[in-house]
Amino acid sequence: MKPSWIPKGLFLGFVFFVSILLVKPIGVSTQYSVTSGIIHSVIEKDIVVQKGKEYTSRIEYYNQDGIARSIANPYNFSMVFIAGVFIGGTLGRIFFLKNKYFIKENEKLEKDSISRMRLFIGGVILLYGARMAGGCTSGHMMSGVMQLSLSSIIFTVVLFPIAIFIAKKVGE
Amino acid sequence: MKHLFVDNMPLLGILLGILFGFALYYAGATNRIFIINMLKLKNLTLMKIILLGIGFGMVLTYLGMIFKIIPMEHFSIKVMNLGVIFGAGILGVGFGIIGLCPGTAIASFGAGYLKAIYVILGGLVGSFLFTLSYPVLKSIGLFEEIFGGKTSLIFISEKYNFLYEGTPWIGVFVGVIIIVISLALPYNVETKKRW
Repeated sequence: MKPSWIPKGLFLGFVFFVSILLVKPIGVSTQYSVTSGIIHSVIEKDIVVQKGKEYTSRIEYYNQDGIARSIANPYNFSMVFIAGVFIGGTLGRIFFLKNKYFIKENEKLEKDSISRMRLFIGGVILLYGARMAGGCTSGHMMSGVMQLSLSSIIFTVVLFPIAIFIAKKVGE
Repeated sequence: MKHLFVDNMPLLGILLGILFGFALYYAGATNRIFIINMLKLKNLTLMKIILLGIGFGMVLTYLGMIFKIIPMEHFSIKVMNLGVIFGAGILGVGFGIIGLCPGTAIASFGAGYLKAIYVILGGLVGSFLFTLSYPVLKSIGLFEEIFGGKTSLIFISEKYNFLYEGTPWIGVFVGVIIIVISLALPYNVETKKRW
């Protein structure tokens, strides 16, 4: 049987609430900047320098949103959160392993023929846009709109029509 | 037990991350075919789930504010600038092409859709390209604050601008309206079947 959508929506909203309640709103895309910055700092060692308690970088963007600090100390809430998202996906798959609805949906995904190149290029565009906007579907569309943030509402209103237009045009 | 969480943020991070990844899988948001079918307006179930999630989260968050159970410093309103508008447009193009987002790509990879690794790798390249282009984008004024910068629709705290002072009950009310919209939205545009 197809599981009802209502508990799914309630659960999703509840998780976003719990995160604001305990720590801060959920957001993902900043950690892509931090991770690419960590890779960058392996290649060029002096990218982030510590001055007292502050971390600064000659790369201007790393001085935004505490990115420089996270590059120097990646073991923090937001980075570990990302590892949790990965594990949560795995646990979801295991938990619903025998659920007929999820089996059917996963079969559709296995037949998926999208090329690796397209996924890669899509990923480049996705994160370039997310960093420019200061957040993605998690940080802006969910967390931001929930708090009635003006920028997040504008973000969502721009995002959806364009995504719908492109999905219909590109087709599969 | 309290200090185990309060003093150990990474532990809390992994637990919340797991909840979020699980919620994404449960909602079907880790399945890019399901997302693409929403964007093509063939199956709006995910749209209903997202709207219900936003509405329910908003009700809980504003109730949490009214009853002072959420510390005010936990709220975080993102800045408004032209980058939000152009960035949302660019993100929309990527979202429309692949049907995954930065977060769902990670949960999807965890759920066994191994091709999502290409989205994640592309994302690292994309965010690095943004880092490199940031000074130029900044110099053309893309990140100049507009509409008051960090602005919310109703008053949250002294830290943020607001359009209308109101009371947090308005947030609860708006949340309820979004929940009603999620219930009223048809499963798909043709059949208009709601339940």
